Amino acid sequence: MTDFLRNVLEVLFDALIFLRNYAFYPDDGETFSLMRVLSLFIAFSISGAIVVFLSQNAVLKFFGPKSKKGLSYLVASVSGFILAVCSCSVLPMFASIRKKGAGLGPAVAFLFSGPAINILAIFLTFTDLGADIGIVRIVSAIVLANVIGFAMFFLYRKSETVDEDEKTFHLVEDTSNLKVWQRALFFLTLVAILVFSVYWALPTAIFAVLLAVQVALFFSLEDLKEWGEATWDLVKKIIPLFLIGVFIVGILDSTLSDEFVVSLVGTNNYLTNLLAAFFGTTMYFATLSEVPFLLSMLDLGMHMGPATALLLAGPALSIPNMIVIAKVLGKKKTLTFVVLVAVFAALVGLIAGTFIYS
Amino acid sequence: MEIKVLGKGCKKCNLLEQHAKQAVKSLGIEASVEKVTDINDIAEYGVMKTPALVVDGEVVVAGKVPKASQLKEMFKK
Repeated sequence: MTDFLRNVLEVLFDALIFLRNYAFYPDDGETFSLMRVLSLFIAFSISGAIVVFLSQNAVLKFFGPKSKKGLSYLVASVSGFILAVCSCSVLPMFASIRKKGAGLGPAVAFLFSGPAINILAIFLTFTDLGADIGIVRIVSAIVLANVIGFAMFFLYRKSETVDEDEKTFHLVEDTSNLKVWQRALFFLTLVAILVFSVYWALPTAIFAVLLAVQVALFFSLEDLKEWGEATWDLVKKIIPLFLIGVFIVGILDSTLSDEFVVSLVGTNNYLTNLLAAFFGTTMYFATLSEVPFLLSMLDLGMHMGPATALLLAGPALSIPNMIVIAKVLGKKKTLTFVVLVAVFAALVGLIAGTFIYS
Repeated sequence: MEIKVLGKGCKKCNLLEQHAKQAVKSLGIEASVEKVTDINDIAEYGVMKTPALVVDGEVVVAGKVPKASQLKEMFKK
């Protein structure tokens, strides 16, 4: 009994160390660095700025019932960048696009790609897992969103009808008075800071000064307040669950053996990819926590092919998520969606694992 | 007047409900303030972003939380 207790305590302690290293010691516990936390803070600030300063209407109007369908799919598959900043806003939008907007296909495309292409997910995937898996994640999320969205539309084209009445489709009012070029410049500066913050201090400082100048010239106090509030709102919504997620990953990291992980998903074939994709569709990951999870699994010997499959299927679906989707779509369509996601995610994992990461 | 607050129970939705109730109270009008939390019922109104406010079947606010004083102006009409 005491042995058991000691083991449990050891695992919990390991998990705490894992959490600490993940946040502050990017080089395997060697050197303390605030860089990670700082650049994560910048990424959150950009997300907050997206919420406040980017025109959501400019994107949402492509989801209206009378918009061109091809365009709706395309925009749906990339608009997560602006619209899916927080996963909590994705499901209501999904339900509305399907019921009062462009219909099932674009709604599904949006639902699928959102969690993969918002700026926080992109940032974390690139810094933690590397550029190759990051690029594969973005590109295949966009492509698969179109494929799966269109497949859903095609399979259910008889039972799904689009409500043509445009009056019942409601956009959001824009709050900021900034001009378009001011917004564009502002975002480019922020993204530049984020990109350089990972590598060089000097350009970061230059862009930071540029940012300060812009803020002083263009922004009203009200703008700044809203930006701050939106950023803090996101931090509050995402960080606590994310930290719990990393802690749980730490527990797994300490208890799972290399041999176990390697025997399950250490190679790249259709079985390992399907297994990873199936695990991804059912498992719940707190927003962003799929990234540290994979970081640990790759470290324990998971192949990058199955890791990609999991990355594609994981954040888009989980059992709690399925329950809500089933309330909107019904059981049959939800199951079809889940199967499509699992199969295509596994396929991309297999292809990427064979041809790209080698 | 029939006022509905659409939203799945997030903080902003509760805030909007509070503001709506305040506005109704200070105007002294006859109005019911009701919450709509079911995702399908919300989608029925076609709002893209919650919280949203529906007055007598019409969506008047979507995706933000106006102050009680701003809501008062809206309810007067």
